[in-house]
Amino acid sequence: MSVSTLNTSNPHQQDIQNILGQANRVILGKNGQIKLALSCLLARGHLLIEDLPGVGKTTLAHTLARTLGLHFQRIQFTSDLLPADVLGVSVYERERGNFKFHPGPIFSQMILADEINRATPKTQSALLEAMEEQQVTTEGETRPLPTPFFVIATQNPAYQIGTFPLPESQLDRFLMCIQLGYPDSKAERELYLGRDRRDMVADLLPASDPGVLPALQRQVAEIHVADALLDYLQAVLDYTRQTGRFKTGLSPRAGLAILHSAQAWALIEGRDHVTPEDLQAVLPAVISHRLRSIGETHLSDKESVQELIAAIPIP
Amino acid sequence: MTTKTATEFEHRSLSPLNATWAIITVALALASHLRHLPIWISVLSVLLLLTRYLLLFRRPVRSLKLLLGVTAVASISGVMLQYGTLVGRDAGVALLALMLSLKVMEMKQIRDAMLAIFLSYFLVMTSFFFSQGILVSLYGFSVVVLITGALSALNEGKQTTSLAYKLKASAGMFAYAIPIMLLLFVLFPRLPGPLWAMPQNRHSGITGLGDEMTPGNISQLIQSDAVAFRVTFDNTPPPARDRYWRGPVMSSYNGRSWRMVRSGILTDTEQFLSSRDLFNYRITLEANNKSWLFALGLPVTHPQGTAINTDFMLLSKKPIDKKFRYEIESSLDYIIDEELTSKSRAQNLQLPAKTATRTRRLVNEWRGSAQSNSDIVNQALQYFNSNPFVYTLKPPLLKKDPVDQFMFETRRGFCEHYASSFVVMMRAAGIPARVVTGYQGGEWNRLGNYILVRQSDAHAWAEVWLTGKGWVRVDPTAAVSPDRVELGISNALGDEENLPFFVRAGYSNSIVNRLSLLWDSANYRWDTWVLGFGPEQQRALLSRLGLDNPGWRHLIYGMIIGLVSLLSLYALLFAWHYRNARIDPLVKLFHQFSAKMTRQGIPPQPYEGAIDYGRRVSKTRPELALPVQRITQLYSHLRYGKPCGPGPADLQLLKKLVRALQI
Repeated sequence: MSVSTLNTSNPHQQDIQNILGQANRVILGKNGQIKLALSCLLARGHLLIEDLPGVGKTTLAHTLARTLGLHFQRIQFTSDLLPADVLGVSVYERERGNFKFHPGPIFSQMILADEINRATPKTQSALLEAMEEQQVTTEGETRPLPTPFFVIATQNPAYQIGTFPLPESQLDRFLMCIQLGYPDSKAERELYLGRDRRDMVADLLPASDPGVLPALQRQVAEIHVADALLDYLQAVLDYTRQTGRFKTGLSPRAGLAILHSAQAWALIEGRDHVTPEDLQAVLPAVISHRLRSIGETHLSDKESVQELIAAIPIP
Repeated sequence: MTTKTATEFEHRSLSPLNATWAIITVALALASHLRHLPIWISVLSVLLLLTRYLLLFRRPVRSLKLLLGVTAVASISGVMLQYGTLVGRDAGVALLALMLSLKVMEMKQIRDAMLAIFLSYFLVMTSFFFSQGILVSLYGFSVVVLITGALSALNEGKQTTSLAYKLKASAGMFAYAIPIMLLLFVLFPRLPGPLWAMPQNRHSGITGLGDEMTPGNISQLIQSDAVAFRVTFDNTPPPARDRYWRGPVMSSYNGRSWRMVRSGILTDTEQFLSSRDLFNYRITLEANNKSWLFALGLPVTHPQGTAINTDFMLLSKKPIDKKFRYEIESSLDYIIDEELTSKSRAQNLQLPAKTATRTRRLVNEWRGSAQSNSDIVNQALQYFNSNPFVYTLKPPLLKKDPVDQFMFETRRGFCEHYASSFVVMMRAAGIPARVVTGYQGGEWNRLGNYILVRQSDAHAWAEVWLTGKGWVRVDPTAAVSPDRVELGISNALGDEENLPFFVRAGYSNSIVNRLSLLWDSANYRWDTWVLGFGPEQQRALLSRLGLDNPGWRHLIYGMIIGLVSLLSLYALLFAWHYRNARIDPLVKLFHQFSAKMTRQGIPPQPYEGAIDYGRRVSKTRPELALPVQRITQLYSHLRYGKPCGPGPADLQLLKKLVRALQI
């Protein structure tokens, strides 16, 4: 085998590059986060964005939906939002003499659940249950959600008064949790000089055929995971379980989440196998909301995940 | 980690958590010395540590440096005033404790804390200059485990682990060290006697039998439950009533107190034996600063450095200033001094004039009616027995002419009163007699199979010389209180007598007694097998293991073999533990590559993936980018991308690429 054939040619590699390229044109200087969001989507997970207002959460969600050609709905969560407002409700139709189900905004391929921590736990759990089950059950009837089904929820970490922060068990439903952060000065300057983002998003055309996304999602599962990589993954899991630094170590579900995300990342990187670099790339986004370190309340800063990575030698 | 980064690390500022660690370890190390440090040093050190701890939560104080300087000078002068020197055990340890506390005060960087922690190790070790008991050793060990935990905390940087994890790791290291420690302890060639002389302070507070007996001496001694000595017998020990541990023999009397008299040395004691029934036993004598040893009856053989005198006392050439262990053979069946020299006869009949006149009159009455000297002995014992004499620890004070006063007025006394007046009576009757002091009885420790003799077993009795029988032991106390000899001191005295707790009656079967026996037996074993582990014990232990009379060469070979096998055992354990991490040829090739790069000053980080490493190398050495990235990408692909592992051709290619990398 020669080095030139290392990157196995993938028929959809061009599509991935198109998607990323288009998203990067709208959202400037956030290549890493866009790749993470895309790999989250490819790994069939849901994404939580924790950040201040105005850094481009909505634009990111919107851009991804447009670029992938997905049907997009935005739900603004408020404290008086009811589960029925999300899931839909049956209304009596006098002309027909029976009830007709009016599907809620959740029946879309991509949902932006904005400020999810403003809603009551009841409404939150209605959404989270739908995310987990990929279906909605109301009034005794089960209705499947469209595929692909992808939720991007946002949470504002700064103003917590009057909010209902998601419990730890429900944070686990999100495959990844990312922060966008401020753009660097060059990107920000470009943003001020460029066109209005809302217009740009409205003008976006799908960068790939409708069949590409499901095909890519299927490919993620086929990305090869070597024994040596599982050794590394287990070393990471063991470290969180045995050092006593964390209240609880990572669960097997978290292990699976790391693995699937790393597979998706490897696919985006154009590899047919997962390398330790892939795992390290997704690790902060996958585990930062799942670990509670002793003493601190939250392992929120990615720096400490980087330190965790630095503490574990690759076997 | 390279040297450069190591120094950078050392100069990092100390986190409050790690500072607390250092303060705690220094405090624990200091605690082992609080017992013998002067109070002002203890208080000052504790204050300094406490201040440092409180300062953790405040802004830095600017005038601290000046204050510390003043304190340092004051401390040095204080130690100088206290001890008159700055060197030596006591002054040295005091100075170390103070300086260490001051060092803690000025801790800023990690290296300061490291220094404090390393000095704590040393400070803990110095506590063995003062005491080597079980508790001190246990404390020392646990503190060292903690200090090691603190050391690992200090080396962690920001990535911290929990306290339990660190202590577990530190204890694990100890678990590996203990077999090595035992091996070296058992096999290291021992020199007879201590390796170096510890400048010890004299045993000022030590109690024991003196070379003079005045009524009141022994009843004082009885108040102490301190251990006098412990005895192990090879065979069955004699019954309690025959366990008279002979100590100082006193023949000189001045009307009030009895004294020892200088006497010659016996070279052969076997001539006095009536039978060959010998008791073979070993005594571990606590330090008493006296130059006599204790033995049952007539000592036949005597240990090196000792001699037997004509009073058949066992004498040591130098005072017993530390625990002394000796093996000895004794006979209870002997006739000594069948012929008494005139000098000895005169000495043992000596009585100061104008004393004990009433007693002399009484004895003269007996003399008239008695057939023989033994009759007089019996008559005297009979006198004690039939008159209302009381055996008590609290006799009334005797003033002028104590013998007469005791015999006819108070009639309340302790063993020394009975022994003393009995000998006076015998001498008055013309029978050579003398007082013998020592210990009687002792407690059988069934857990350790030895006899524990305490100071409270101290006793005084008499010896009379009878024609044809030589010196015969007579215990007048037995005539008054037979229980004292048969059952021990606790059963002979009432509860109101203020005996020390461990000696009281009714306690002998309690759980406290059993615990105290257990503790004493543990101490005894510690003394014999750990502290007293000299050439003799080493030989005994090794011969039990089947090695007879090994020379020091054998010991050194044994040590080397033992060490090598222990280390190989550990290596095997580690290999078994990491058995899955067998280095495959692919990883080996990559190691060759990274070794090449390490020589170029770009070592791989343990957490760094191969591709990332290749990129990093390319950044610092762009001219190597192409070949290096070919290698790292191929390696990563072979290691993580091949479902059935790399084939021989893949390895060959990687090998070629690594070889071709010329720098």
